[in-house]
Amino acid sequence: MISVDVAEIAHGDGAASDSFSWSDVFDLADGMDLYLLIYKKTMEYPDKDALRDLAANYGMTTAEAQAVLDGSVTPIFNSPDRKGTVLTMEDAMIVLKDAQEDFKDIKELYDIKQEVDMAIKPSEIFANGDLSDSGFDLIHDLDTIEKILFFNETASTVGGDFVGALDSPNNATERDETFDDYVYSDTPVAIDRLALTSEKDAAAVLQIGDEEVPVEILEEDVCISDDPTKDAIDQFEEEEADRDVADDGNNGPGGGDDVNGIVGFDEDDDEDLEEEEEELQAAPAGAWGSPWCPGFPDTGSGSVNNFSKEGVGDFIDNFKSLGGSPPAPQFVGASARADNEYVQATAAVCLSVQLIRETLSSYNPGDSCIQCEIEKINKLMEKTLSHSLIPGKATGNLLESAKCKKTGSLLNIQFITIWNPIPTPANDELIFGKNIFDEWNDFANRYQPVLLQEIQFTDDDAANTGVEGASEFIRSNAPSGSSQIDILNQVQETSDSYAAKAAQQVKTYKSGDTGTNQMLYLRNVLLEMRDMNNLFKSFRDLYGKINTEAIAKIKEKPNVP
Amino acid sequence: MIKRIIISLLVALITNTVLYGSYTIYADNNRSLSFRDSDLHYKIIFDLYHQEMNDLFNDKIDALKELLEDDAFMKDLKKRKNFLVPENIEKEKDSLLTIVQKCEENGENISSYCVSMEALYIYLEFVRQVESIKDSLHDGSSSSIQGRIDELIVKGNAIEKEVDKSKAIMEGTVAAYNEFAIAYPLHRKYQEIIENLVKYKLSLKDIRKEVMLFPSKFIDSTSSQCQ
Repeated sequence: MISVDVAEIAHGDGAASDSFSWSDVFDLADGMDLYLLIYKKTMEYPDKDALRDLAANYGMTTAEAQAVLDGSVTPIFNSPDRKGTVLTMEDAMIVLKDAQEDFKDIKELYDIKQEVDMAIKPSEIFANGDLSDSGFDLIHDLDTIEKILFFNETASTVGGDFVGALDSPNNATERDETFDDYVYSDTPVAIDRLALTSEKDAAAVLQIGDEEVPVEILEEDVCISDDPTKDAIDQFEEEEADRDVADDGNNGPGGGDDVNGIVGFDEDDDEDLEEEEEELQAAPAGAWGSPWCPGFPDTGSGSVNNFSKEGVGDFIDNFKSLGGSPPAPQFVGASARADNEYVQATAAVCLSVQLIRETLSSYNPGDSCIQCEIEKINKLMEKTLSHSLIPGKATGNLLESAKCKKTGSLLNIQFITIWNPIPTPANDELIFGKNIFDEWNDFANRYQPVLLQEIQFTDDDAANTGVEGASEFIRSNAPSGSSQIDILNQVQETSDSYAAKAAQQVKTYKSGDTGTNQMLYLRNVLLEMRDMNNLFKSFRDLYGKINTEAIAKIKEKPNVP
Repeated sequence: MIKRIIISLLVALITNTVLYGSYTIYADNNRSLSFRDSDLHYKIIFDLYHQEMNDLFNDKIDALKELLEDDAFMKDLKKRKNFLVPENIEKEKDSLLTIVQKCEENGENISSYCVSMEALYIYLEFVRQVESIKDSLHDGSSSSIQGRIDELIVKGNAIEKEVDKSKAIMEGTVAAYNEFAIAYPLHRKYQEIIENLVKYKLSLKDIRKEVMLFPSKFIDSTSSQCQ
């Protein structure tokens, strides 16, 4: 006996809306017949889909369901679902009426569905990360770009929750006028809406949904940066405060400073602890693998026996646990040695943790993306540049340089001379363009030598000295009978003559001095330029040597595959 | 017997010729028909209208894709001219006909605004056409007056429903076209970027292959002899 699933053959294949969909238009037809698709969605699909559902619900074929909608009761009587039951015409008419009503309801639902589809789908079909409903997709394009750049794709949030919603100060469902509150102003309106607990307290309660969240009103519109360690520090401080309260209770009446040998943890202890922390020492060099605790004496043998009886005794006397109690060693075994596993101690230990992080590439060698390639290039360049690029030979002698040397003498030593000019000091000490008299006077005034007044030397001195000398000379050698006026005239003439000569000599000397200065200056410049030329020449020769002697030989060497 | 066979073959041949000729005549006539023509059955008007609207959007999408295929589209303002709303359109003052004419002045304008205006113009023509035949009894097939009246009622209801639905279809298509017109240029630009990025990546790959030779050239290239 063959059993047939009536429900499967009673109605058509799938939904009518699957027969011609967005993918057919934008994927296969490249945008053609867009209007036809909308037409079918509006005019045909709701009817067909509703008819299909009706046929399935009433156990008929779509043709029979259509006949029922047209008023025929025959399919109702022939329905396999009602085999064995007796139907009157009245019952059939009731079923027919129900079917028609159901059809209207179902069709209305499909109408709404298609309307929503037409309104929503076009806006998201090109940016939903799905290529199957359209020939292209902007999210897919961005994913491709991301993959080319970084190889890994970030999971698309299209269609999911808005991840950044909680970070936004604006709730998208709030009224627009609320948005203005967050625009900067001297008196933000948003604060007025908060339920202030007190006028003095800068705390308030903000209603978020059904919850009331306490908030803090900031004096300035500047957000306080989150401190990731704040919670941990706050918790630590609370625990410390609780512990202090407990210690105070122990130190009060009825309490003792030393209960069962436990030393209280007071402020002095705090200071001691700080001092101890400052005196923390690193483990002895080369003994980092041995048991070691700070404060234990070194035995002098290079090793530290921390768990000897002496060591532990000193430890108990000098060391205070962070928790306020000294360590309580328990010598379970007969002997206490460094490797005694039965020695137990309870102590809080400060650990200084240094995190060393190295960035490792997460890309496989076969991965190819822009970032991957750049990372690989960086890695390869790092490997290359971490070594000296100067080629050398394998040295056979201790302290021998790997630089290739030429030697033909008995001594296996070669001095390599690299011509390098000796830079001459700058001629800054020379005086150019100065007057020698001014310089002398400056020198004399500065150092005030003995007999300064006697050797003061100015341009006019020559003339003055000439006048006095001439007067004396003429007075002593004047012929008899000469009048005073003649003598004065002669003196004046002689004086003028000397003064003119002296002035001319000074002028000549000044010119000569200036010319000498210029010549000296140019000569030094010339020397400097010659040095520079020689320097350049030496570099050129050096590069030539490197090219002919070093690089050419490097090229000849076989490459390591 | 043979005579019957020959007659049957001749009849079949004649029948085929007549049917094919009728089909081609009908097809030619149908192709040149417009919903604006008179004396058409309202259902044929419906079909012709939807066909024309479908052709309109197909032409616009074709033109859009053709325009975007040109690489200079993004850079050349002249080439983008038909992608933008014509500047001489005064939306508040110009009549719908004037707007459509201005849209068609410089060839096929594919801006969403012009496409929607052209579709709207055709739709209004369609509405006027079906309204003009809404009360006509000529396209009825019943021989009785009551039958004609019943057909008139059915026709009126069908026209009202078609006008409403056609408006929704037009709006939905314009919305989808608008999204397409926005997204497709972006997609083209992204494709261009992807192509350039791939070229850049391949260039980097070539550089990396060259760099891979660096270590083998310099590291451990020592020798025991100075040669």
